[in-house]
Amino acid sequence: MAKISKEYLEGKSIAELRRMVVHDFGIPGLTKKRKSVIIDAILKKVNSGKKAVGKGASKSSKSVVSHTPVEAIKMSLESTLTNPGNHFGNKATTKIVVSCGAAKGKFAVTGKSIATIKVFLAEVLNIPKGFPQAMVNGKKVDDSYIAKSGDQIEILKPAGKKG
Amino acid sequence: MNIKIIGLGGIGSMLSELICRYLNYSDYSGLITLVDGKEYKVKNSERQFFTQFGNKAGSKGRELRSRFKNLTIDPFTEYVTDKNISEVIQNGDIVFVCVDNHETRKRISDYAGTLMDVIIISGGNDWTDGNVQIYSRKGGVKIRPSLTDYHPEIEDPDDRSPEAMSCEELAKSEPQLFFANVSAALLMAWVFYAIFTTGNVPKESEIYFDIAQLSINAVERPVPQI
Repeated sequence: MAKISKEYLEGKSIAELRRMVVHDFGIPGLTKKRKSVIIDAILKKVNSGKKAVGKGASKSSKSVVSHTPVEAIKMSLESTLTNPGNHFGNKATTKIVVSCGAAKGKFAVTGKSIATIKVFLAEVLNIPKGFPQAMVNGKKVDDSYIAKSGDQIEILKPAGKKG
Repeated sequence: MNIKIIGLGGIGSMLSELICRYLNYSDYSGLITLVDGKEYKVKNSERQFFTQFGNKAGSKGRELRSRFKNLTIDPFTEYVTDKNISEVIQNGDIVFVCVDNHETRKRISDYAGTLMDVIIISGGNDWTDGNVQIYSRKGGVKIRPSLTDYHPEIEDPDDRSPEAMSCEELAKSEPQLFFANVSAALLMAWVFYAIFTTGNVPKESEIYFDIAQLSINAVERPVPQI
């Protein structure tokens, strides 16, 4: 990661800073704050980290790093680190839930339009011809909608006719 | 709470067995009405449950009455039409829609929209897949989407209800898989069990199944705001 300075942070967009503050620095509660507040919080965190390193030998340091080996981590992830060399924001592939009728799965379709997703997943999800209506998070959307991380997409399957 | 089972073909003939057997050994004291204008014929034997030929509602009613003596079962031996729908469906009913056309589904859904309290459980299938929809109104308010809200093919059906069809049209029917009928009936019974035992309508308003993919998916959808 590049050296964290005030100038470096000011060069970032607010969206990038919001991602950084959560994912890189683990500081909660700031994603809706102003840019200057986020920058101050990151710098404070960076500086406190440096002090902790500097006082590593001191028993009075409040920043204690545990050296106990991690034996297990239990979590549910939807993102996969697929491009570690890329810039921040492009390192991971996020999968989102797409369903059509009884078929359902998590697919790497963030950033793709609904029209593209329908074609891309037509066989996998058995999407009927005629490309029916799509819904995102319970709301009807048109084919130009771009899927975002956290979306839940449903392609409406026509009802069974016979009985 | 009275129960109406509309359509006694592949889905309805199975569902009526499940519902009546369950209710016969419960404390249920309401009326069960079986509704169908069609007749059981030899060709129906491959996927419909019946022991007597003749009008489906009449023969199924006699058969179930003889086996489940704690229940009050009435046949209504006509198709559901605009003229008789108010006789068939009333406030407070649980209505199972097991018909084979979207025109009748739309008729029932639209009529239910005029009632204060009603629960509609509608099932349908194609060859190996199908769905069950749950439409509910309570105190005059729609609490689950209607059968047409998310289904333009039901809102604007391309088929006709059986009372409007000729004998030739009625005789022509698309092939159906017995297991698809049974799957729809069973899922409708699941929904009924949830409602009967808890008094609440499930938050999921539609359940899809696909025998070929061995999968079931229950979907929660908001009631569309007007």
